[in-house]
Amino acid sequence: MGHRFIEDIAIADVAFEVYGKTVDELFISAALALLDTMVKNSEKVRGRVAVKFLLEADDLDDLLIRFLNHLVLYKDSKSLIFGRFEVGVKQTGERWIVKCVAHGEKLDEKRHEPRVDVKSATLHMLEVKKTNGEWCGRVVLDV
Amino acid sequence: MEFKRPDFVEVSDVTWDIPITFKSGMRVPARVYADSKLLARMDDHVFDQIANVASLPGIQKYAFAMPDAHSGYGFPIGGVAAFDAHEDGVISPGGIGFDINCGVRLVVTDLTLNDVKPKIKDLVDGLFRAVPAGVGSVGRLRLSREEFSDMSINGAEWAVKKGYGCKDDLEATELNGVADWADDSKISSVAISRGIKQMGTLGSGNHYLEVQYIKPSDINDNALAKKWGLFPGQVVVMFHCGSRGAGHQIASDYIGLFSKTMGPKYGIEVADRELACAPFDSKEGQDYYKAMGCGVNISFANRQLILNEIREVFSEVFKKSPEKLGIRQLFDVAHNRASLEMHDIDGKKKELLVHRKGSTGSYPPGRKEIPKRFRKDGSPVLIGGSMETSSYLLVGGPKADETFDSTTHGSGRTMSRTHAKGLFNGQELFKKMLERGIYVKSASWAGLAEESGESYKSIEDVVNATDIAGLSKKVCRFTPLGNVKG
Repeated sequence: MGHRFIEDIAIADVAFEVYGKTVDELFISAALALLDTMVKNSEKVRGRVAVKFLLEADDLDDLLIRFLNHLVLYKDSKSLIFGRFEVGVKQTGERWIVKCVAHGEKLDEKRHEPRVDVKSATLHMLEVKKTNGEWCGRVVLDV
Repeated sequence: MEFKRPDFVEVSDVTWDIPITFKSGMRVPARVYADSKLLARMDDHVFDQIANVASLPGIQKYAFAMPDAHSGYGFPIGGVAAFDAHEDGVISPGGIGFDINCGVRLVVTDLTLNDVKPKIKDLVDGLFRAVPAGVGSVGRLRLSREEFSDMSINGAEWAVKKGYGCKDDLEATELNGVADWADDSKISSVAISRGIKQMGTLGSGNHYLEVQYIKPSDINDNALAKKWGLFPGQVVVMFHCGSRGAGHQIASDYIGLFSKTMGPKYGIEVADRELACAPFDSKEGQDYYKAMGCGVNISFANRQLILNEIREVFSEVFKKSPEKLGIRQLFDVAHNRASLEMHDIDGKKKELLVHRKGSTGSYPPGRKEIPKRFRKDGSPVLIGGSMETSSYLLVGGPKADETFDSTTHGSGRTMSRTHAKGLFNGQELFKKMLERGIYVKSASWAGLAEESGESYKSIEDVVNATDIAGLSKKVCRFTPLGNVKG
């Protein structure tokens, strides 16, 4: 489980690769990469608020983007950022569903040290796949 | 993919054609405006992406890449394409940009470098406080959802009616600050939630608010500069921002919708998911056009609110009213918008939906798209440089009809943000800029490092190519003095 920022595939924006033994871990890695993009001190985000949500999509990669953009929505509408996640991803029929409890707090400029504002996770060069038993994905964020 | 630059046809020193044999599916050739140096530094995805644009239904003449082009989502940034508005043409959010109506506003003052230089720190610090910037920034204005909807219908006019500006500001704005085709029933509740707290904020990334001045040697067109109220030594303010999260959500919502409908319902296939589109005259296409109008208005209103803050901060720092300081808006241009315009196609006038993504309108004298006060001169064109370099004012050029009256919008990045962050240090950059006479205040040191001048193409090369191609002609150059970065 983890993430790595990638140089020079998205000139104007931010790209990262994420890994996980399970799809759930992959989603958590992506959420933490999103946080790391926005603030320097991601480890200082405390779990003062918990939000619960459920999202659906036709494809797993679409679901990942919807998931990240839902976290962006909390940042834009309630100034909330999240550092801990309980995630369950499953396929039901032809639909993919993610249930999430995200733990976080209001953005604090002094403690969290903002980096760059994320406007959206995009479909650009998006990839989610399972290779040698590990899930990996690539996401480009519009900043 | 293997790119075949040798196959590009050199039309002039600054114009290159990419034939339809470059990539299967191209309906028209692509045309790139760049000198050989800019062309060599363009990332290869630009050519792949502009070829994909050339494959879209209803495209007219060429898909264009401007001198500042760099890869984007679907369209390259600096991409232009016009589609037949009445037959088989499409509308594509990826050709307009997520940050709908993102643009640049130029505000002039009667102040000179000598007046402002001693107070630049107070001024920039004041502007930084008044215009929130950076991650999760929240504006001062508290709006109800009804007020937000009203604003999304009435744009900058809404802001002026609320007391945040004057009629003169509207007359110096494209469309007079209002997209009159907007329909708020076409935007989602999520879009409203994302935007409602962000009005009057700058954002982050490449958005900025800059105090600049004109060096005596930097006026290229003395007559026009004088006519537009510009003089040597003059201090101006240029800022760059857009429709914030609301505009982004509108684009995302409709890319999602078009992705599902374009194939099954309209038989459209695209080479890149971010090029999702719908026929312009379809219900989905018309819905997005009306929703995009809301994004345009949200952006105009946002820049209007920021202008109001600029007036107040200048007034506070110089202890004079904005009127006595001669603060007035010169112009406001969008560089992420689709515009319905009449253009000549094979000797016939046709209504086209011109998509400009990271491209500014550059209209010749007489065009109705130009606000009345500038109509005899041609449209003012604002091109923002990186925070370490200059910015430019140009005017609609003699050959802009080649590109459906479109031109460059900025410098164009050459280096990724991740790469730039590894190479540059925000604090060191701050000191270096201060030594060069530029005081910068940023919400983030990392964000500052990412925006270093070396991450961008040379603005001089980009503007020269634009001028030589005749897309727009230089009027004057602005040098930075102070900068607020998101």
